[in-house]
Formats: sequence, structure tokens, C-alpha cells
Amino acid sequence: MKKRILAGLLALVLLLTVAPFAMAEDKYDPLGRYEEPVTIRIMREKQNIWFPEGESIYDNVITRFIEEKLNIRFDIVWAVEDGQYGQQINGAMAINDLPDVFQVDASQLFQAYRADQIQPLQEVYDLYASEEVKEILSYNNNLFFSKSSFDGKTYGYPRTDDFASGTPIMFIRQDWLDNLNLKAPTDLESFIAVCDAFTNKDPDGNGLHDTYALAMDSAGSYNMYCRAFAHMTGNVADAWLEGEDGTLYYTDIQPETKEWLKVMQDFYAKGYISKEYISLGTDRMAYEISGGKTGIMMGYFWTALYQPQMSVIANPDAKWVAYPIPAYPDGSYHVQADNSCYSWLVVNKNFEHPEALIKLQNLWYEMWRGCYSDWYHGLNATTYAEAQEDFKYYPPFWWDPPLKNFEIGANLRKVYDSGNMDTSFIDDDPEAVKAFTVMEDYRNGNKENYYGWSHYTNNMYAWNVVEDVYGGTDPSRYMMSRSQAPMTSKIARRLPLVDSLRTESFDKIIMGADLDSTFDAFVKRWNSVGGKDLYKEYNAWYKENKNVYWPD
Amino acid sequence: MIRSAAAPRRSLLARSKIRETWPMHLMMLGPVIMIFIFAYVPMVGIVIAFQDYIPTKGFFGSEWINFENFEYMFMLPDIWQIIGNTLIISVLKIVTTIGASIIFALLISEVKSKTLNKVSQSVILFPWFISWVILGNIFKDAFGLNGMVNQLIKSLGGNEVFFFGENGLFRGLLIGTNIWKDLGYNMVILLTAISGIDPTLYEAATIDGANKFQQKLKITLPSIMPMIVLLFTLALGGILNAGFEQVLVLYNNAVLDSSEILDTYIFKISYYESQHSLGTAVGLFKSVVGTICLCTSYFLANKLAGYRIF
Amino acid sequence: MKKNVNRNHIKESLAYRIFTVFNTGFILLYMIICLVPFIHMFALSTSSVAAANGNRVSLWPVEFTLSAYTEALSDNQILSSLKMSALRVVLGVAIQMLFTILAAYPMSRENKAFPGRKAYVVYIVFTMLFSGGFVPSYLLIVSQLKLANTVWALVLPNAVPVFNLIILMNFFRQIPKEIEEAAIVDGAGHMTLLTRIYLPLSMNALLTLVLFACVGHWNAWFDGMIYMRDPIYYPISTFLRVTSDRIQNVSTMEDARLLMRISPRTMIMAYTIICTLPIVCVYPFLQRYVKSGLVLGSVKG
Repeated sequence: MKKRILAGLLALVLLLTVAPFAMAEDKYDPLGRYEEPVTIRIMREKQNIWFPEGESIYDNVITRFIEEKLNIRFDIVWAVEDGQYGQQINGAMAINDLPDVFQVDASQLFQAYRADQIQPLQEVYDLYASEEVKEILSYNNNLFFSKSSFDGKTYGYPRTDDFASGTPIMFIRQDWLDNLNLKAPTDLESFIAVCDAFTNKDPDGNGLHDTYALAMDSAGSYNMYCRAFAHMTGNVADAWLEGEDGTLYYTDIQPETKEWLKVMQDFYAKGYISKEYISLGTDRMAYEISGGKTGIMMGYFWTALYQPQMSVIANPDAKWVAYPIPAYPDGSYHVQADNSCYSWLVVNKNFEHPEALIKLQNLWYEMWRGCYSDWYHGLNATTYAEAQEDFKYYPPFWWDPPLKNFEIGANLRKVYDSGNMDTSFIDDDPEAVKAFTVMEDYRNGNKENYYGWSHYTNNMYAWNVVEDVYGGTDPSRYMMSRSQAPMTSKIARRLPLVDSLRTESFDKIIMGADLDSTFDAFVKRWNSVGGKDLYKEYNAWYKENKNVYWPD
Repeated sequence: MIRSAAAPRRSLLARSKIRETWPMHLMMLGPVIMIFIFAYVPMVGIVIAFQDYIPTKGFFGSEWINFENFEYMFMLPDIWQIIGNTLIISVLKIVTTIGASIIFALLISEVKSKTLNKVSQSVILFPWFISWVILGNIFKDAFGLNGMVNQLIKSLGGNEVFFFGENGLFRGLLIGTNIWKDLGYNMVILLTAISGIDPTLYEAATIDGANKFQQKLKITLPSIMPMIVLLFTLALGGILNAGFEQVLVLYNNAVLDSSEILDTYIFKISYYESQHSLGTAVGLFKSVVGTICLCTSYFLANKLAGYRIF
Repeated sequence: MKKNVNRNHIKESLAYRIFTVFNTGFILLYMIICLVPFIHMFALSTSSVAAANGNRVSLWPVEFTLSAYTEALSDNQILSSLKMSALRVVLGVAIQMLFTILAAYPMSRENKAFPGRKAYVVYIVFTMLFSGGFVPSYLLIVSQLKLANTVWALVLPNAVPVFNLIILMNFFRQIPKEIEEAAIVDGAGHMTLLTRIYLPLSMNALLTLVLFACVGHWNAWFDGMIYMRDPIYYPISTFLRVTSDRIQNVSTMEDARLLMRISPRTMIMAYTIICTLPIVCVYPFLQRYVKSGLVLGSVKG
């Protein structure tokens, strides 16, 4: 009896909370303002963002705007140091003391799902997400949702990254090439020639044998180098691809892998790669680059923002240009790409307004390119100009559509191609206009505008590579791993083991261990420490879901 | 001491009536409570080593899986290597550090200048107080291929040495930098023991015609032997702590084979991979072995050196 | 007697003198090795960004500048971290010393004079060996006691440093019992014995432990990293550790863009120097007590 009364009360409460929406004209308004203020407890990184006097991550022009439009407030309970977010979420998950909305990676998402700490978002997403947002997030047959979906329902709102976020691009010291009268390498053979020259022929002309070709480190860009080397020998690194029998197989245990490992091993032996790459993190390699020790980077499309920029600041003569990585042996390009979503936003089980997250993301889209875009970009161009692109970090949640940078690049090219430097016809892409302004400032002689320089290098050179050589935005032109399954208990345990086994073994080979025996031992151990389980798990998922995500 | 004490003293100091001792129990109260709250209460969490811990279900609601975590742990391909590394690094560090501090204590005790004696002790002890977090930044620079050490080696005509890339060399680096940092501490203890040696012993030896070297060998060393044994046995108790912070700040993938130790491994799986049950299981294993070592060392100290630690 | 020594000197003069020269030289050389890393650190922190990034600095600043320091010290983060560390050291050392003294006194007694001592020893030593691990401590401090973001999370969990306790206990044991006896005859209680006899006679040991406790608190970083959820509460060591860890792995555009603003190497070195400096300042005053204050065990009579 008591239970019934309770249930009745609960229903009443539910009815009361839902009632205001029911009475509203549009029940599921993507931008509907709450009658009563909704407070979301969050964790966020502090981030080193510029704020005008009186504003902060706690209270700024965007959070006030959100409150005005949606009546949503943020309570930043955890303002953690940059880079500590993941660990703090691990801790918070372990003691079940979680924010209302938080960001997780695939493994955390699975753990939170398993511990019943988060709620499914499928329903509220279907009901509240605006058409434009749905359109963007359904990119690549909804693949952004594959890792966050359990039992056909998504538990995570994808925090998408650029579609080319995992695609290697080659940055070269053009001044070194010019010094040696060389052309940028296009295939393995010419690549070896250039690397040899950069190492042995004194590219910086200082009379010392103190340079080496490749800025490979063991941290951030390690995978980019693997991908590039695999590509120039006609292979794919660290991916699960569909074999002829329709099942997935892991590329790096195939004998062909030895082809590119052999090349890397040679490179190391000949000194084209730093002898101590293994102990260099991103920071130390950046010092080498800016110290003029090395001249080729396999980087990301945005890399010009970091190490090359440091290099240009340290030495204004350094000239970095982006090129495509060396081609397949047959001259074609099948560059690797990631399913460019590495983290998801999830909603605490106990939070009553999961739709608030959907609305926030809708609003963000409207600010970026919808009905509030003039206001938003206008502010960014005037009062908040100093924040540059970090302006987007003002609200706690934001997202980059996967094709955003590509569209900016396309628009910039239109402007430059038109020849008259008129930006009026790309007014619907304010970020492109903004980029154009800093780039022009740099090109017109403000050589101190390093930000403009990076933009120029990224948007012109790197973008050209992707558009003209790699295949633009057509997913079928790229190689992408199909191990896009949500985690399971087995995968969560085995994956770290096999991953660290892989890097360990490959590092040994690169640094001179016997190729055949080390590789065979690696394959054997890979199978025994969990590779076989991964094979089973991924294939079971693939069988079920192939037609959903790869319908062709 | 009490055994050699005179009878009246015993009656005064050894009275055990509660009327006499309650103030001492009262003194212990604060420490005991603090230890209870911050050390014993969290020990409840050891149960998750036997569970498949799920945060929402807590320590008592999670599913019991008995020794599955331990079975899994010993099935892990690297676990024996990790245990081996822990022991090897630890033993080498203990032996070299104490060995070096004996040598330095003997050498410094021969320094006649009082100023140099004092200053050198202060300087050599100094690194002991600096944390590995600070030293890590410095050593990574200094021992890199372009670092000061390699520049020195090259200027002396040698080939550059890749300390961070070869397993053997990296272990050497761990041990060498550990000597550099911890030497001073043991040295100061030994110097105290040396300065406590009765000077008449040396005089007698001099009369007998023993030279300085013989004196060191025949008098000084035997006199500080109990202290040396004590240092060894004390170190034995911590044999499974092979220097967590040092390894954490210095190591990299290339030298995992020679330098992944239990503590860094536990840190990795608990803190980064959130495998809390497994991490606790490995920690518990370490504690049990550590207890055995500590008990052994306690009895050894008692037996060999006639020292009582606790 | 003096004669003997002199004669000995003359006899061994040559070999011994050579030894002395080498010995002194060796000790001096080793002292330099002890200091070189810190000099290098200082040189890096006072060099220009370009020189530091270009690996051009060894023991002398290249293109001398103090900009890394002015930048570091104008950063609120560094100032609040230093404040937190100072607060932590003051509170932490006070609490540790209080409990160490309180526990060391009874525990320095013989088993017979202090029934239950054995139980206390086991109770305390057990905590050196077993711990609950990461989750339960975190649960206790963050969820139950609500100490996150407070200095108490850093000072309370290690309020009773077992190692220091053992040192002080062994020092107390060395104090001649005769002195104490006289006081007992005069009717002194335990509190009087402790404050009037034990503490004044143990100044060396106490100052040694103060030094240990200061340095221990100053250098600790892990607790700060997990219990402080806002970096303004980070102690300086935690800040240093987190920062130098972060710049080692940059794989997203956000990271890169943010890191460009802290031109890393000179800044990291300036942080490192700032973090070392207080130890350098305290050390000369307290280190001289270490020699006589550090007593590890006691002889069984």
C-alpha cells in the first residue's frame, strides 16, 4: 500500500516537473527556456584562457548568455588543472561522487555504464537535438555514436574532433630543402634521399654534423610516424580492417608490418631518427625542433600551431611547409583517418534534466553558425578579440563539427582564388573571415604575428594537402579502423595490455632488435595476452553492426 | 638496558600499575586515533582485492570473486618481470648506496680540515632533501644524448651513451643517481658512529705500528659494523619499495623491461586505468611480502647487531 | 702520547700525505658533482627561451634574463601554490611534531614500565606495511570527511610519521636514566619528565625531525594532485609535477594552443628553482643537527 502511495506521489512529481513543457507550444523545443532555473554541477579544466577584467570561467559573457536564453546555470564544483580532468573523473567515478554532466573517454564511458552511474541519452537526443546538430553528428553513418552505444541506446553525446584529426601530414623545413637543392619527397625512395641529406649533408650550413631528419618522439606524434611509414610501404598501422572473408583482422600482426618496421629500423640505424627518440616527450622534441636540430615532422593538420611556430619564433629563417606524406608504392594515397571522436559527454544517473545538455549543445551551434552567430562572432572580433579562438572555451561545453576546419580552408581558398581578397561572400563563415584577417596581417609584413603564420601554414598548405591529395572529406578515400565497438569488460582489460605490448615491441625493433624473431615473439605474445579475445569481441560486434555503420 | 639496570631504578621506572601509566596511555590516545582514522579505516577497502569492485555497489555490495584478481595478476605476462625488477633494483640500490656511504664516511673521517669536513658533509647530504620531481627534470636533461654528461664523455674521447634507451644502462642510471641522492644520509649516520669510537683504540694500534689503512680495517670498520648491519637490515624491510618516485619520473617505454616496478605498476593500473580491484590485489601482495621481509629484518637486526629498532 | 702520534705522522708522511691530497681532491670533486645539477638548473632558468630550447645552455646562463622568474612570480597560480605549501609545512610540521613527541615518549619506555607497549608497536608498525590503497582513502577524505580542497587533506592523513617516531623514540631511549630518576624522586609526573627533561635534552633530534618533516611536506606532490580539485590549492610540488608531466604528451590542438603560451623549458626550470629555494634557505640552519639527532636503533644492554 505504502509503495503505491509512493508511486502515486512520484508520478505526481514527475507530472509537475514535466507539466510546464507539456503546456508550452512546442513540447520539445531544442532551445526552450526553462521556467525554473536549472543548475548543472560540472567539472572543468581551468585552461589558460584570456578573460577581460571581472570575467572568469565561473561567470562570463557566454555563461550569462546561456542563463538568459536557457535559464541554465553552471556550478563548477571541480575546477581542475589542465590535463588532470581524466584522472579526476577516474577518482570521482571510483567513489561515485560525480558531476551532473561530465566528459569521458571510451573506457571511462564503459566503466560508468557498467557501474550504472550514467543515463541513456538516446531518447532526449532524439527529442531535443536540433535538425542541424543531428545532421552534423550523423556524419559517417552515425559512427560517432558507435562506441557510446549499449543495447542500441547511446549513453554519450559525442565531442567530435576534426575529421582529419588522425591523418598524418608532413611538415618540412623548406629552407633546408632549398639549401640542398632538393624537392619535397613524394615516395619512399625520395623520402630516404631527403632524410639522408638532412642528416648527412649539413642542411643548415653551419659546417657541423649536428642535424637529423625526423622529429619523431615517443609521445604525442608517435602514431603519426607509424602511419606515415606504413603508408609509404603500402600498409596500414594499428587498425582493424575487414579481410576477404568479411571478418576483421588486426593489421600490425600481419607479416607485411615488417616492411615498414624494417624501414624505421634502417632509419634509426642510419641516424635519420633521433637516437633517443624513445626518451623524448613532446616537450623535449619541441626543444630539438626549435633548436634547429631536425627538419621533418609527421604531424597533424594543426601542428604548425605548436612546434614549427616555436621554431619560427626561435629562428625567423626557419620555413616550415606542409606536404603530403610519401605515397603508396603505386603512387596512390590511402591515408589513415580516425573515427574522430575521442570523448563523450555523459549525464549523471541522478540528474533530472538530461535534455539540458542537448539544449546547450544546440545553443552552441546557434552561436557558432546559427541565429546567434552575428552576436557571438561580433563579440569575438571586438571586445573579446584577445581571446582569439579560445573564446569558444568560455562556456563549459562546446564542440567542433568534424568538417569545420575543412570548410574554413575551402572558404579561404575561394577568397585567395578570386584574387581580389574580398571576404564578403564568405560572411556566413565568420571564423574563416577571422583567420583571413590574421593571415593577411602576417602576409602583409607583420612577421611577428606568429599566430597568423601558423594559420597560414595550416590553412593553406596543410589544407591543400588534405583537399588535393588525400581525398577531401570523402570517407571512402581514407583507411579507418573498424574496431569501433563499445568497450566490454574483456576489451577494457586486454586493450591496455596489447597496446603497450605493441609499442614496446616495435620500439625494440626500431632500435635494432632482430626484426624477424622479435616480431614473431610479439605476434605470439599479442595473441596470448589478449589479442585473441579482442579478435572475438570485435568480430562479434562487427557482425552485428556492420550494416549499421558501413552499409555499402 | 633494563637488564643491566640496578635494582632500585627498576622499581621506580618499571612499575606497571595503571595508576602510574595512565598518563602514558593518554599521550598515545591522539596518535592512536589519528592512525585509526587515516590508516585503519581505509584498510576496509582491502576487501576489493577479492571483489569485482563497482563503485555504486560499494565495498560490501560488489560481487565477491575470491582470488580471481590474484589469479589474473599472476597470469599477467609481465608480473614476474616486475617482481624481479623490484627485487633487483632494490637490492642493487641498498648494496651500492650503503657501500658507497661506508667509503665516503671513511674518507671524510680522514679529512683534517674542520671546515671542509663540515661543509662536505652538508653538501653531500643536500641532495637527499630534494625530491625526484625536481631532480627528474634535471637528470633527463643532463643524461640525454646532448646533455652535460654525454658532452663530457665526448670531450674525453668516448662514444655517446644512451642512458634512457638501454635496459642495462638505465638500471645503472637509476642506481647511480640513487647513490648520488641517498649517499649523504647513510654517510652521516656512519660518521656519527665513527666519531663515537674510543680514540684510545687508535692510539694503541699506532703504538703497535699499525698504519692508517690497517687502523681503518682493523678498528674503524669493526666498530661501525653493527651500524652497517643495522642499515642493511632496515633497508631489507623496504625491499619491495624500489624507489617509486625516481622510476616514475625517469623511465620510458624503452626501458620498461628493466625498470617497471611494483609501485609504478600499481600506480598505472589504479590511477590511470582505474582497475581498482586489480591494483588493490597487487598492493596486498606487496604488503604481505613486505611484512615477511620486515619481520625477518627485525629479527635479523636483533640477532646480528644486537639492535632493537622498535 | 702526543709524541706517538707525531712519530707516526713522520713515519707515514709520504704515503699518507699523498693520500690526503687525493682524498681532499676527491671530496671536493664529489661536492661539485653534488652541486652541478642545481647550477645547470639555475643557468637554464636565467637563459633566454631561444638558448634554452636550442640546448645551448650548460653551466652558465646564455643571454641572461630574469623574465622566466618575473613571469612565474606574476602568475597567481605560483603565488597561491607557494602559499599553500607554506601553510602545509607550518600546520603539517606542527601536527607531526606534536604527535611524534606524544607517542615517542611512552614508546621509549621498556615493555615492563609501559604495559601495552608491544600492542602499540604492532598497531603502529602495521600501518607502515598495509594500506587500503587509493579508493578507500579517497572515499574517506573526499566523501566522508569533505576535506577536498583544504589543507587538512594534506596534513591529517600523515599526522603520525612512523619513521620519525622511531627515530625520536630511539633518541629518548639514549637519555641517561639517572637524570630522570632524580626527577622522579622529586615527585615529577610523566608530563613534567617529558617537558622538563626529555624535550630539552633532545633538541638535536627534534630539530632534525623538524627538518625532515618540513622537507617531507614541501616535497609531497601526490596527495595534492588527487585531493586538490582546483589548482589554486595545489602545493608547489604538485604544480611542478603536473606541469612537467603535461607538456610531455601533446596530441590535441587544444593542448598545443594552450602550451604555446608557457614557453616551456625556462619556465619549468624557474618553477624548479622556486621550488628548491626554500629548502636551500632552511637547510643550512637545520642540517647541522642531523648528525647528532639521527638515532636509528638502540643497543640492547
